[in-house]
Amino acid sequence: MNNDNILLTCSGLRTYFYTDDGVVKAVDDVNFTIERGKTLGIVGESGCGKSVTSHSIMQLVPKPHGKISGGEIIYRGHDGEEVNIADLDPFGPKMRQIRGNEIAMIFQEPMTSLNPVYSIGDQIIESIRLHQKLNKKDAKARAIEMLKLVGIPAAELRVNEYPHQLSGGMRQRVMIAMALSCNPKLLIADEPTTALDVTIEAQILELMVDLQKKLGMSIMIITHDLGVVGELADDVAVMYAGKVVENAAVVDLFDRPLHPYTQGLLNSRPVIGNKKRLFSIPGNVPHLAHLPKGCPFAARCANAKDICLSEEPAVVDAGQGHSVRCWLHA
Amino acid sequence: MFNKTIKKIASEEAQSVPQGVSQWRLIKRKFLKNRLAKSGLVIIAILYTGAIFAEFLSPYHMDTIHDQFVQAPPQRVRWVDNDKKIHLRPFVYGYKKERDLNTFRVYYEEDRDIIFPIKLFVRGDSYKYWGLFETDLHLFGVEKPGTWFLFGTDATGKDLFSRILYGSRVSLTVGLIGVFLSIIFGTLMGITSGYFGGLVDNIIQRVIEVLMSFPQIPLWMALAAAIPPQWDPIFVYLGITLVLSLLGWGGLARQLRGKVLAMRKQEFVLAAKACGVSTPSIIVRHLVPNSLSHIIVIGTLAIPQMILGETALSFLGLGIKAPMTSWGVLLSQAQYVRILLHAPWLVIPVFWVVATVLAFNFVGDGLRDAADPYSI
Amino acid sequence: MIRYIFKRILNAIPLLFFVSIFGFILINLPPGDFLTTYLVQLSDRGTTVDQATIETLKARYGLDRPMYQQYFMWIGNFLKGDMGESFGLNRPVNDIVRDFLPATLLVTISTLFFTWLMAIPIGIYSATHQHSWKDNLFTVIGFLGLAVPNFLFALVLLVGGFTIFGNAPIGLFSPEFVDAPFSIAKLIDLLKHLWVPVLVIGTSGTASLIRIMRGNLLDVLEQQFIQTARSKGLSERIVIYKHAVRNALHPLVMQLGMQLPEIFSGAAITSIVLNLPTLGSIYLTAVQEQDMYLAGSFLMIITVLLVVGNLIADILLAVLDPRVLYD
Repeated sequence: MNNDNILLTCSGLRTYFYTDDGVVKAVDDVNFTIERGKTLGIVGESGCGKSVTSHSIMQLVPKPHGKISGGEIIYRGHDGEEVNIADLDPFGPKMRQIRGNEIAMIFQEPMTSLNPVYSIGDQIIESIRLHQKLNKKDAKARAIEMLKLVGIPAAELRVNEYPHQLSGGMRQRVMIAMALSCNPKLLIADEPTTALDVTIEAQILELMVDLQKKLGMSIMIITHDLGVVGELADDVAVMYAGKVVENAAVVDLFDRPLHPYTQGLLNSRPVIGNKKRLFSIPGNVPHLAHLPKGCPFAARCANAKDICLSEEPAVVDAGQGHSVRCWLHA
Repeated sequence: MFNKTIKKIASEEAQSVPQGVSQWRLIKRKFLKNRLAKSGLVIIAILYTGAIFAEFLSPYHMDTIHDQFVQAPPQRVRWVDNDKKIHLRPFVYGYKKERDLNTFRVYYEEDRDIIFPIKLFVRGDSYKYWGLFETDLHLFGVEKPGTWFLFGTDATGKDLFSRILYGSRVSLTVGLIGVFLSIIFGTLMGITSGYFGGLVDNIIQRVIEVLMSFPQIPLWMALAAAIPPQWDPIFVYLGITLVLSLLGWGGLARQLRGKVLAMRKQEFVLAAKACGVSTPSIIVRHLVPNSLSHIIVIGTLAIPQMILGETALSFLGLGIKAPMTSWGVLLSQAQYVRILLHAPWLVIPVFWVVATVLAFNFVGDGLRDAADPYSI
Repeated sequence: MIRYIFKRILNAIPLLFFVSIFGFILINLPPGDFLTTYLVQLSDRGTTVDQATIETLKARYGLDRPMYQQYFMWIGNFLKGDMGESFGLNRPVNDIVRDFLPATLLVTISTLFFTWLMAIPIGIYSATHQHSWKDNLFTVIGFLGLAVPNFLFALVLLVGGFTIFGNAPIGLFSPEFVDAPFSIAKLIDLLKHLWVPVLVIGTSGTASLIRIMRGNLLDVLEQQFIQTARSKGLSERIVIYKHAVRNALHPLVMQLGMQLPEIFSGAAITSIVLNLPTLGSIYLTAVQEQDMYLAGSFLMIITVLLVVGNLIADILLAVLDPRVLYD
């Protein structure tokens, strides 16, 4: 792999929450890379730490409980200069220069991700004028251009409308327009379609693929839906209980899932025409503040060995950039 | 959001642990975790104990006039006397009276030669406890002819401490009874309004709107002034309670209406309807219990409002009438700066008002936080 | 927007109508009527009134007519701008209102500004510094502000003023300025007095507003669009002041409708203690003496002011939040 092609490397990332119930290790030793112009999918159940991972990259982990406690997030900007985001002050000018400008983000709930009291135009213009030296008129023109790009009809009129006047799908398009308005190198999409209807979901995903072709940014998409990953991603990281348990190119992962959890996820997808009872992984995700000893998945794993219950598995290289964190493959 | 993620994880756990534990147990558990709310409850318990055993706990009867000691300052409780001798029993010095020849005002000064030891279970003014039996036993006091005015005396020479304890009977019950009445009325109106909707709802809502568009105290004043002054004090007391509750129900009714409107469309009410359960039965069996925690919270927070209301009305002379007394009545003696400068102890009753209001607010806040046991 | 305001005004009319009926009943609630009280007062002063005078008086105020006719007489005259006659003060109510309304409005509006100017910054500070010692201090002060009765706070300030400055800041002007024409010195004297009632009346309102503002802002700060604003790279200042605060103000403005009656309530009782030349201070005697036109006019004026205040709040709300007009 050519180093110049790597946009972002996350190594040994740990993000902990210091709560009354104890330390919640939401992200614990997470490693992955995102290549320029490619899409990384992060998959896992709710509460597995995938959202926290994405927020860590943005340095938006909520204070005072949450904190990046270790690891590196190396970002290589336009000129190849390396920045370790994990070291930056979350509220400092350097981090703010990256946010929105270099790395942009869209969220799960399009209904609430836009400020209800400002017009969508104002909100896009705010972002543009923050990072680019444009006057109001040019910024507005740019905002309209972006709205057209994401397929909003009558963009010249819509630009003055308020979020509550738009449907959920439209709002997510506005969010995408806003996120891409400063030509970021990386777009983080945190479950962007979870709250949308299936037909709208397909449209938004298609739009994202389309925009990636046009604008060439990398995408990190966080989802619990393997279907979304299959459609969009080039590489996949499967997360479980704060750890990446399997990391592979998307085709490779679907072809030979190695971790029992990944296998379970793949098996629990409905297949059209198959009327057999849907497979489900038994048991529940363990509480992140009280993780059991050994492999966190061991209690739900059909093939668990003695060592799984006593010792944490290490990352095992399975070739072709495919790695897995499991004793069964050690 | 991450908070939410954590909350989600935590609440999933919280829900999985106390399975089978009733909502009330959860409320209790959460309430008892709140230190402020717990201390509020303790203060309330102390205050009501004082009201219940007022005759026994106060050294004097509320109407006993000490005409030799008019507007006497509080007598300090001491352990060490003039000769630096430590007494095993706390004591107070007697008073000697002096007259300022310029202002003709009477001053009281401690007479260091006269010592009155404070004793437990002394005989003093006789009283009929709750009208049941007659006795003259007081928890503490000094033996006659000694006097002990813990908080001094008022302009008629009555012991302020004793009067505060007696007055707490009125002050502490006005809020309680008033809230009880307004809860009954508010619940009835709110649930009817929310359940039936339409014209009934419209009328009730307009009435509430009219009631709420008046500022509270001027309206209380107008209503309190309508109570005939020649009435028996006990009726005046009940009248004041009624006046306070008459305006209190609107807010409760409104909030309950909102809750019922939301509940009306929920499955358990629809299911009850589908089973042919009658409307009154749905209201009593389903809607009221489901709103009960809400009602209790609002009620608790309304009590201090009413106590302040009674205090204000009595302070203005529109409230409780003699021979009854309340904290507001006691405070009305301190209405003028002139008097206050000479007898600052007359404002002591306000500490009771503040303590009560704070305590009820703490408890109410604690209940509100606890009433929603599944939220973190 | 104009349609919205028009609709609001239209809504207020039936409310005012019902309020006037209710107020009228309320004022007439005490047994006997004002004429009886008036006659008793006259005879106390040694004046005997013959039957003919009583009849003329009765006819003049319509007391011989049924209640509903009396009401329409009263409200009709009220709408024409004639608020009737005060028996207690022996003056037309119009004159009294003209004398007392300016001070009433001055105290009320100053208090309103005071509560908002104090509550919003403190609320923002408390929410953004949750559980800091200052936040806790404000919480304690807030609780105390709610628990200490207004009138007592006023008394304490008076006594404090007396012991420290040698004179109690009673009223709105020092004696030498009461009838003086307007001047800078008079204005300064006014400000020297005004802070007392404003502080007294405003404290409890400020306390509850701080709690509302703090709670709202904390809720808003948890919302998704705040994360969006941060993810754009905006500074924390802009995130809080431009994005969060404006959303948190919404319930606060809605609270305005509830807050005005509270201020009037507080003003009524505080005015009596502080001897302010406001309608509140003469209202007490008016209800005690069954001075019905005066008391009734007071209730009506206050309600009209409230309705106007609510209207302003509604308009403000529409300006602050575009969703209001949309509904």
